[in-house]
Amino acid sequence: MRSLGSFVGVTMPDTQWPRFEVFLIEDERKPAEHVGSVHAPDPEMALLNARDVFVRRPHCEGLWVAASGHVLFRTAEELARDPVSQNGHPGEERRYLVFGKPNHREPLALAACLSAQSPEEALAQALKESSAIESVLWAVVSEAELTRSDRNDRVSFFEPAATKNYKLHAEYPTARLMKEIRQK
Amino acid sequence: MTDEARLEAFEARIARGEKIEPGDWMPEQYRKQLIRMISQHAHSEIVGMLPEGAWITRAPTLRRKLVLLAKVQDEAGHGQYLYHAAETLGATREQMLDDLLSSRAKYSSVFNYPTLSWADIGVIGWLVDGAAIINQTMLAKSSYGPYSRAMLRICAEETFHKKQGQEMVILLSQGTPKQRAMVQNAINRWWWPTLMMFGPHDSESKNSAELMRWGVKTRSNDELRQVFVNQLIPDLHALGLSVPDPQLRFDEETGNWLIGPIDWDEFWRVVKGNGPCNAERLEARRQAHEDGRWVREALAAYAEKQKTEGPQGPQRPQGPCEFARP
Repeated sequence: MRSLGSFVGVTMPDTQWPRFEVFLIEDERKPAEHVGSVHAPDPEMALLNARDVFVRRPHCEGLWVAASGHVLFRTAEELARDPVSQNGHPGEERRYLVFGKPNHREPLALAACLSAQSPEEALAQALKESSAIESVLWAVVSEAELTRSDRNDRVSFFEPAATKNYKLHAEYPTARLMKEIRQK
Repeated sequence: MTDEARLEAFEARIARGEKIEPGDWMPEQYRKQLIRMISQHAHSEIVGMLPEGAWITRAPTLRRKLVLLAKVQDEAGHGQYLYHAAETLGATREQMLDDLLSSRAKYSSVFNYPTLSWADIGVIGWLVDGAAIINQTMLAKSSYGPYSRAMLRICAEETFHKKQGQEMVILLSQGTPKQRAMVQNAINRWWWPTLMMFGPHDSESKNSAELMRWGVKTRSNDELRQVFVNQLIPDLHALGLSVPDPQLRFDEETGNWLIGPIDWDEFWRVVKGNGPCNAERLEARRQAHEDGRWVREALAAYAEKQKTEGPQGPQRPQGPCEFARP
């Protein structure tokens, strides 16, 4: 057995893995939502970690991850100080997903899908087209940067949560048992 | 904005019941306190697998084994939720694990006691998870978004932990004299360590005031401990069971069950590393960390290979996102 002190002051050789942003589709009728981030060595592992952190139980239809460096975040405060311009970011035309957070209580949810040459241009376009949408925070990601769960993942990712009844508290009739014992 | 103006805006947001999110401005002390709390909480979930894990191979029926496996697996999942929440504040997984394995970090002392009989599994579920749920229900209202959301998921899952434990205690208490004696003995050993889980008295708790001002906690240690005692005592008595406290009495005026003095010397002895199982628990975590080293190394090597040699293995289909309707 190693002595208790053997780890003191020893720095672990592991280095922090890159961060990935996680988007979740709870239900096909609801827009995708940004739910947080995970650290992982690659996108496949990020998807697995996201499954373990965000959907061990809740109902879920799909999960997407994107390396944090590929997601543009802008707060309303930052936009007021430093507006994004629609021009001056020439690049390849791609489809972008734009997420908005209507207020501090609601989630950052998908607000627009559009084609643009850069995330900045996509955001500028979304702001112009939907000037009625208020948002305290925006996130923009190119569809091509997403790694997405597909039909083959359903069995291992999402179905276990729905089939193991002994994980449900309703399986344990404690209230009825206590009542019966008290009546005796 | 000056720091005073930012602090004012920050406190106003908390007063309005808004959640603080990663990337939002926050006082350094708020960030530090949250990392301390959340990482301790994460370590507790991980170390908490050990006392119960010891009984997986000895569960009396297949059903009880499935239930216990699922519960212990949940604790691992909860540890993941919490490490993730701490990472959103800038803490790294590596540093947090290093702090745990080199015994710089704390975790809930209740897990430094041994599980001596099968009845301990029922009592841990009902008492220890029951106490944790009371604390976590409060933390689900915490002002920090990722912590609050992790707590919501954890509370929803832990309700099953508590009820499977309570069901076991009920059945044992109505069983043979030997089973009744076994479950009473387990309660006698777990009662005081469970009460200590709520932490020192309010007058002794150095972090509480600050945590309450910033909406991380909304109720004090003593308040929560009283909620727990009031919930549990009538049920235990109905089952013909008792707690090892000769001074326990019902106070007509307040409707509270009042307990005798808690042995804080024992509490601090165990917190400082001298409980019955502290060394064993840490050794088990170090062993697990060492045993997992090859997996971490393989993952890193595979990621490196993809970087230098391009995509490996089957690729996911690209194309427009399904359900991408805003």
